[in-house]
Amino acid sequence: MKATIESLFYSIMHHLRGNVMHKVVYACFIAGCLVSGVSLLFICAGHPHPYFYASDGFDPGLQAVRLLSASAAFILFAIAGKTWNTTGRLMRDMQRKTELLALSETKNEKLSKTNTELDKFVYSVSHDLRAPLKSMTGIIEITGQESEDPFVKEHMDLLQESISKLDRFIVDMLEYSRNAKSEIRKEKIDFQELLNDITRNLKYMCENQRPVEISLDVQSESPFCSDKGKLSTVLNNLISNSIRYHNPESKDPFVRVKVKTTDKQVEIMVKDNGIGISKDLHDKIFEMFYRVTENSVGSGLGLYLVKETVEKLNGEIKVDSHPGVGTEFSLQIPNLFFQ
Amino acid sequence: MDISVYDFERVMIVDDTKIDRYIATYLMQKNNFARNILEFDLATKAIMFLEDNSNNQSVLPQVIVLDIRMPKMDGFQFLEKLALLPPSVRDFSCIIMVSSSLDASDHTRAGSNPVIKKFINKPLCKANLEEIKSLYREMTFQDK
Repeated sequence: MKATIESLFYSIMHHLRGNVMHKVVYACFIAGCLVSGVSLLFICAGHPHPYFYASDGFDPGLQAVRLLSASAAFILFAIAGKTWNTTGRLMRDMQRKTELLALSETKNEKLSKTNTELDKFVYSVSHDLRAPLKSMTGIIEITGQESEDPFVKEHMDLLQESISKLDRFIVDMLEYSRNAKSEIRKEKIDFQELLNDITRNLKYMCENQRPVEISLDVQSESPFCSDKGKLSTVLNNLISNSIRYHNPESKDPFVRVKVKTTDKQVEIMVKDNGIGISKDLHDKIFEMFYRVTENSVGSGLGLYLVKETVEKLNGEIKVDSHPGVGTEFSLQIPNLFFQ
Repeated sequence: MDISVYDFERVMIVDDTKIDRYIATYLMQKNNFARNILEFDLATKAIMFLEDNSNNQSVLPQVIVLDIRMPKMDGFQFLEKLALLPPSVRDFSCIIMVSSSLDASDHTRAGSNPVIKKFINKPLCKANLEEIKSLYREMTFQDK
């Protein structure tokens, strides 16, 4: 709005300069030239015009003064004209600048509108894609519970597995699009609370399998600020991976999450004794759509999302893993509390 | 004559998806949850039913299972309309919201509305019915 008014002001000034003021200056300039030119002409011709004579006769001093003043007028007008031109150019630049500002303002407004619309679109699509899956899950549960036939039960489990896989994929895509937006929201984070929430939700994951023991160790030496939603995505993905890829032969499958906040950063360690990943694949696991095993149930987006998100938070992530022994992810995320 | 014991006399299901209404109805019948189940595919029809029966508590549902995203009138708009009805209807039912929405704003909106006793992620399961029972007990206990 301000930019629009400014732009209007400059365009009026520009118009004025171009049409009215320019003509005045131009007229003065012509007049100056004429005066000095005519005086010069008369002097050169030595014509005894009364203008060049004092009352008591021809005065070369007075003549020189008049000539000089005429030239001075000429020069002054020239300078004035030049200055006016420069001012005009400056003004034009400023006008262009304010116009650009107004343009970027409207563009920004449009962009944020598009962003909100895109958000709505993504949520609607993900909802519409998930809703039928949820209905299918409902029917599968009913059918599985009703039937005594072990084959029916098994088939229902297989169906459910596929549905869960598709559902996870949709959730991951949603999180990916949410993360793709660049802004980082600064919020105070209580890691104990955050991890409690995450593990509570993940408990449902273990319902049909052997429970994986989750232990939390949070040391808060300093208050911590960062993007809670993004950090939650990271931790959720890492911990759910540890549960999903636990070692079925292990007697005591576990996930240990260790968090230590300092005034500079937070150090997070997610360690498990799961199936592990061989060393030559460590670089690949963060790639989009990469899956370690053929029968892995993930979408291939989880760890990609983790890495992207950590980078967005200006943090770092490292992996140490050995097949049959376990996996350890360690990450550092800067603390925004003092910034 | 039906002599079985039911947890509730009347339960209302408001959901535009037929299969989800079927799942809810099936679970409720199977677990002797409700003697009569009032199914509505549109929130507008449901609110009309409540309006018409505001003086007739013997047909009002004790529990309303409400979906969020529906055409014409969504779950939240339904609640806004419900709030305008006389207290005899407005405060009668225990309202349970169900959805498969991942939109955090839906969750916070439902969480901040005291009328909604519980937000359930679809699909409805047997454990949810137990939860609803205890929530209803809590609600009616507070009233007394």
